[in-house]
Amino acid sequence: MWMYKKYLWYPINIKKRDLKLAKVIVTQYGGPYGELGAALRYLNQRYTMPDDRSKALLTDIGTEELGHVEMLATLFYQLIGGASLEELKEHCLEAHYAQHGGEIFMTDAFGVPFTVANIGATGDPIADLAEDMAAEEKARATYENLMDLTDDPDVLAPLSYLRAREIIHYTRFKELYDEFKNQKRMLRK
Amino acid sequence: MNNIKKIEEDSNQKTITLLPIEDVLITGTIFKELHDPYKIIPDIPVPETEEAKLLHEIQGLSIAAIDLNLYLDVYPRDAKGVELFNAVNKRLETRVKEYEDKYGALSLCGSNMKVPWSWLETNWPWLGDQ
Repeated sequence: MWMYKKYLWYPINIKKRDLKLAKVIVTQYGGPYGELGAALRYLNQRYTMPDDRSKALLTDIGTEELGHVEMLATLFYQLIGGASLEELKEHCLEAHYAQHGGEIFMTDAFGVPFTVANIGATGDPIADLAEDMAAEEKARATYENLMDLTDDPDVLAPLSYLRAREIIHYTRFKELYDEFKNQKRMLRK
Repeated sequence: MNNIKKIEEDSNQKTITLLPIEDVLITGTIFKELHDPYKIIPDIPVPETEEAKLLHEIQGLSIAAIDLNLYLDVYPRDAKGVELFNAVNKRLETRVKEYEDKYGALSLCGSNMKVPWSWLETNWPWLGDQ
């Protein structure tokens, strides 16, 4: 089960509305390398992990990612917050307004809705952990791309934080991956 | 809390350097070797209110706790790691209690809820420091 804590992993206080940036940052909310996909991927891959450590790691990183989903939602919400209809039109957000009004929604930067179709779950811990490592690297690269697209310190700081977490997650996944891969090799000998 | 502590992994005795807890909100990790920023990020603004200051401290401690948590998932026999996790969590608990006594509930785990319902007294996280 899960419990909610009423604070973000990292403070987000954006003072300057930026619809252009909102439109691309949304990909880390509902895009292919985004946080929602990460949370669902890890939480869904837990069940066939071979030992307590890997079950724990996927549970705990998956749970942390749910908090990152909230951070991305917050970034998007604060970046479009209070925009007038004129401003939305100016940035080609009529489709967003028509379908979602002032609410946020999980899409990639092209507006394609979130899908689980690309999330892997093979039941093979080595294959799944390899996918998880790749997922973390893809998210890290996306955060760097996003950081190239803004100079607003209020946005850069949380993006930098989220990027830092990708490095940690990658490292922990890799530690287990290397160990499981080695064990498999030993068994074959 | 020591600024730098070493944890010995049970497997290969690799030593790990930890960053000061006070810096964890900036670095996003407590593990010095894994701190590898892409760009230099301007310091996060110093919180204007006592409430925000306390919340930043809670956030920093939460990050230190999850970082040690994930580490211990992989290296469960690291006694120094467990000791440090307990110390960080104790500090976190104290700060959360301090915050909740003053401003309202951050979770539904506590037993000091008041009327009006303390759960509604704290800010919604996505609205930022208000």
